[in-house]
Amino acid sequence: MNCGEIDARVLIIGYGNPLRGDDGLGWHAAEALRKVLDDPSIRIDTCHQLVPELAEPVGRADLVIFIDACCDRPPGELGCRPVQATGTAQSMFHHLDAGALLALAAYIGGKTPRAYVITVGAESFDYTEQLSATVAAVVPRVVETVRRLIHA
Amino acid sequence: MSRQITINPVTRIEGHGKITIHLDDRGRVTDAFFHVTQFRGFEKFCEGRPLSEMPSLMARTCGICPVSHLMAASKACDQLLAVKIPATAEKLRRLMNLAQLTQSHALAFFHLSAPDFYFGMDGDISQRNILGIAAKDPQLARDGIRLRAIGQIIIEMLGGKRIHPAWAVPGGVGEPLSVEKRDKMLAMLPEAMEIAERALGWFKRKLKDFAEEARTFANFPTMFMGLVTPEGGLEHYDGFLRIVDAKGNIVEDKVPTDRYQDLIAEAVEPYSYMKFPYYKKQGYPNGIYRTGPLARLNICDHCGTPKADQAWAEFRELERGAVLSSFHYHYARLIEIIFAIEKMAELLNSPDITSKNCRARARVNAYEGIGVSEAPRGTLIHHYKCNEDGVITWGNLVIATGHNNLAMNRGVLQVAKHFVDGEKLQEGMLNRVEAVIRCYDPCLSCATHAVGQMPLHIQLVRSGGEVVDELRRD
Repeated sequence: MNCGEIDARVLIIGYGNPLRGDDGLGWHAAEALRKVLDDPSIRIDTCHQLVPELAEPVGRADLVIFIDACCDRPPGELGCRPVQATGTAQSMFHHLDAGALLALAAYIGGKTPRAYVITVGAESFDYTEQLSATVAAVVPRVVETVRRLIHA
Repeated sequence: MSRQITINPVTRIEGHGKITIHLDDRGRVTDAFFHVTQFRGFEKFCEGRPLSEMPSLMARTCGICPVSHLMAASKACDQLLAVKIPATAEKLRRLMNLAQLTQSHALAFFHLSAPDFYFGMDGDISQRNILGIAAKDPQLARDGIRLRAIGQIIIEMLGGKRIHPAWAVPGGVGEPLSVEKRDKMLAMLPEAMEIAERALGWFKRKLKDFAEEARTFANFPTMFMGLVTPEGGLEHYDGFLRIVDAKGNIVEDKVPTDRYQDLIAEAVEPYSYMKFPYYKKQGYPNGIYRTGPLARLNICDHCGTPKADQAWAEFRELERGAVLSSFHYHYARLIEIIFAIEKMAELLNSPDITSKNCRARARVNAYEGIGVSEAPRGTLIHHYKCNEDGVITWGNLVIATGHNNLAMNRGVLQVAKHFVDGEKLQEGMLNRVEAVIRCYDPCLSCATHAVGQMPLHIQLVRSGGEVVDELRRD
């Protein structure tokens, strides 16, 4: 992801480790979204972790959608929640969470966009570039959720 | 009865480490150790791999300084092929190396260390992080984010990816530089220089607030080692090895890098997975030396670019002879960023920087190759042997941070003795013990740091195992 040059109305960030099975959900979803979303004002990107360098492009967007696998839902269960900027983050520097990233974006002069996190419960984090069948089956619903958020 | 304090994990560094501080029954520090708790195994699992894979494979050693490993690995493989790479390839490798120096030093200064300088070593822990800085001083936070991004953008433009770009290859680089990208890079450099100079000015004004830390943070005589140009200038990609003593006298000079084993050897200790390099002629552990930004500015006769030379001259006035306090690694880092920006501009303005001739091709012509470059943290050595089919049979890595292992351990002890009162544990004391490690910006791979709420559990434990005191922050 070339953080310094992103300037999009809608920013979609799929993140996680694409070599660890379902942790690559964000990357697979991003690939699926690129096939159906053809709008120059929408930018779809992937990264391993949310890093401070994302604060500038986040602060320029009107809508930011984060996509990631999670461990706190049953395998294959999809969740979508709005996320607020959290000024006092309880997160690790090496992987800022979405709320901390929004806060950082606001602090350094950007706007606070509408933001959502889409998560899917993971079934397996094995060493593979493939999603489990359970999670792979949910990718179309992730795509539909993103489209709904964009047109809301 | 003796007691022990353990700081686990050490925060705002790259990698996993812990510190133990040993106290006597009056609460006085008797000893302290920096334990590196990771085991990587790269030297072993590269055996059996084709040499063509080595740069990309070795880059995976780290996510913060992969370019350093790309450079050292590529140079070692150049020797296995017995090729002289095209001049353009060398310039492009240097360009990426300097971009990495910029982004890595920016990370170390703004994100990992500036929170201490901004809020003080005893500042509120919930604020002492990049978010806390952003809330109070958005310009400073923006500068850090932007400077790091510029370095990463240059890396990505050259190699296709910010992290682990598979671009430096045996014989040269995989892709030339286009005119368009060259111009985009040049256009970003004035902003980078503005940020770097602003940061240097800010830090120099802060120095007076940290006089005690500068006096006590690993401030002891050691030798310093690194690369210099044939003319004795600041060097990060090639050149010769030089060692100076604490007075600044040259001890070893113009040593070809493939003779590094004439100079240094490695010891092991049972309490750490990181080895302990030392200067052979003085034995272990008397042969303690330091590498990295402080060392590079101590060993060179000049930087070679105008703004950096001016900053370097002022820096060297801190002490007669070598600058000894490890606190001044932070200062040295900022000067190196200025040098890197000036040097990148020089390289980008070279007439042949966009030449398509950027790779020499050959088969295996030698069975041993050594590649040495300067990583942000210090001298990095990759040493390989291969068979006639170009399959790696042996590898030895001397990692930049490893050179500083003896000095980090001694520094932890010095700071602990000065700041830690074993009868009354306080957050600020322990932050200073961690902060001396941060001076070196060690790369133990995989940083961990809690922004806002840093989990920390310190226990005072009697030698028999009884917990007599503890500090907990959840």
